[in-house]
Amino acid sequence: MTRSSESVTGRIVTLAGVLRRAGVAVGTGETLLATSAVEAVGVERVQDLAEALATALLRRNEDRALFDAAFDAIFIAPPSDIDGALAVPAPPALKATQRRLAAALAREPASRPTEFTKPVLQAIAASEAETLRHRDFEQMSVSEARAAQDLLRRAVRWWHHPVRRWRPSVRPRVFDARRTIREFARSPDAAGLAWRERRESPLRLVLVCDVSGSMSAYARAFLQLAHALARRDRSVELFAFATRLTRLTRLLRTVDVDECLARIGTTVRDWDSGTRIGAALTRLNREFGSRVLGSRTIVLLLTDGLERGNPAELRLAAERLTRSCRAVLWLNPLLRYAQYEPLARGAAVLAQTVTPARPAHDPASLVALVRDLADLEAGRR
Amino acid sequence: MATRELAVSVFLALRLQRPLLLEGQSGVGKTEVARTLAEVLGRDLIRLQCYEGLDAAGALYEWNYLRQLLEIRIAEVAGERSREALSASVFDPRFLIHRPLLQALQPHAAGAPVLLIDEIDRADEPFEAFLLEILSDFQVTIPELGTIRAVEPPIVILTSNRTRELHDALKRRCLYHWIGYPDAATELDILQARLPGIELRLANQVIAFVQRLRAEELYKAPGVAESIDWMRALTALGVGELTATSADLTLGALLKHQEDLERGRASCTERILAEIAEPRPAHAAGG
Repeated sequence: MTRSSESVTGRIVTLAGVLRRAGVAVGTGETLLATSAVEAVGVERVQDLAEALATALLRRNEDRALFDAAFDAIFIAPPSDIDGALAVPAPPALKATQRRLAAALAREPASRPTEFTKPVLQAIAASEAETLRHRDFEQMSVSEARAAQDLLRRAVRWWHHPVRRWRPSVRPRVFDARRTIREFARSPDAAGLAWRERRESPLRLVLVCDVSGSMSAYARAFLQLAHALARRDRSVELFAFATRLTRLTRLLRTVDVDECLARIGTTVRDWDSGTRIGAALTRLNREFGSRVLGSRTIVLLLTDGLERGNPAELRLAAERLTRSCRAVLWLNPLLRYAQYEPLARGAAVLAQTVTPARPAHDPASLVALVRDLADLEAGRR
Repeated sequence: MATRELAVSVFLALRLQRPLLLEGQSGVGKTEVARTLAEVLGRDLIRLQCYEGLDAAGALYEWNYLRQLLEIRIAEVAGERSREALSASVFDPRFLIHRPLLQALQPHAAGAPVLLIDEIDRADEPFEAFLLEILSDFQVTIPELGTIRAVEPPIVILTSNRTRELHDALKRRCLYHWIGYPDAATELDILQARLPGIELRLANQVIAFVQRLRAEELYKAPGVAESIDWMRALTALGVGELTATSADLTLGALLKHQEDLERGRASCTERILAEIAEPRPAHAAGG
């Protein structure tokens, strides 16, 4: 009995290690918890064991497929196979997200669609530097791009994010009984009435970035803006699309902006392909709508409106999008041309359904955008 | 009507005395878990519904200011001028309003209560941080009164519809379980348990229909709560067997988005009805 429980503990530690290597946040606390969990449910039923371990180790449903595969390899496979299952190549040069996919794919390709495998493996194969070279937009020199980035970061830094709470007010607003009484108890003779007022509610931003061929230089600047915003405010959602929509919000947690952009480069799989704005917005509405859109959400849509898909679909999706958030701001880099008119099919539809386009082709226009957002939030507009 | 997986998670939450975080689509019965748990264990259920801007005053405690002001006035009339005496009489436990979290920390006759922190994803991040503190020590400090500590920690169930990701620090304090949509057999059991005496044939059709409808591309797939509503609606109308007409008329109980309804009526009802009728061709002809 002791022998078998020892080996169970050993396997729990192994499982935790494998999950950690695959990028799941499993700490020592979780591992200890898993040990107590197994003690509590026992090892008689494999399904219960799996469930107990998942309950203790996982904190996101997305990690479940990975967990199940690892569990099978460690607790169900015969001992001789365990070494093989664990000998997952994890080159130190690759970053955590890529390692995670490599580990997941190496162990359990069956539950994922096969067409998913190839581009991911290609992305893993491409080194970071190479990817960067492919994604580098030659419009600005390196030093210019740096300077522009600093400009954006500084613009964002001055934008403070309020929390929707009460704050003390000097002017009479709403009577603050709590503070009045506390001050009265402290010094009954000097105390007067205390007031409070509502703080403004913070805006939530959803950035949707067109990364199709015609957009690359502006997409990069926009992604830098997204990163700067995310460093200041955690309620930023980021999506990119050309032919299909990819959610990039998690990648924005990367502290270093260059590494963040490199990761985005390897994650988005349709850089430089044609644009299907309608399909992307439909997917945004359908799959992420309830999670990211709301009455305090501003959607920033960066696209030139050169739609290859069906304009009718775009119209439906754009109308729904405008209804499910406070405002959709369309950022159109083509406004750099003084004579630009939204004549392209997609642009015409967007011009009718969302607010008039704003420029987004230089740092100044993006800084102005941030300032307007701050005004919007403070209720000055 | 819990699946074995959920039962294991709940058992662990009780045994290891850890909060249990339940995530899942709306209408899969997350709140029901806490309610049932309280009922089965014979404990009190204390519910904290979260919303944006929820703070300590709404969740933990608040002073009853009106009564405090009265107390001050009474003290004035009585000629009481000593600051200490005044402070003690104003901040008397009698004037403390207990909000759900404070209630949960206090002793209950039936044993530690079940504390349901519902839809935590609706609260904001500062509240999450505040909650973290409570969940780690099960004690609070009220400046005027001192520290209140739970004799026996409450059984904590948190639910989230996943409208946003929760902070990792909070998740780490909890055990985690994802509640998915139930399979047909389980859902039928739930339906029968919640609506005793329903017609089994109709219930089977309803479940088969809803299960297939969830696979369609919809803005919001119907949850178990919607299945129950639909069954109720069909029964109220005296429908004995699901037909395209009766389904279309009552689809509003299942689908709550105009786009979904249109799509459902235009392309889903007839096709799904044909699909679920196939295994039993004898009925399809009559339907």
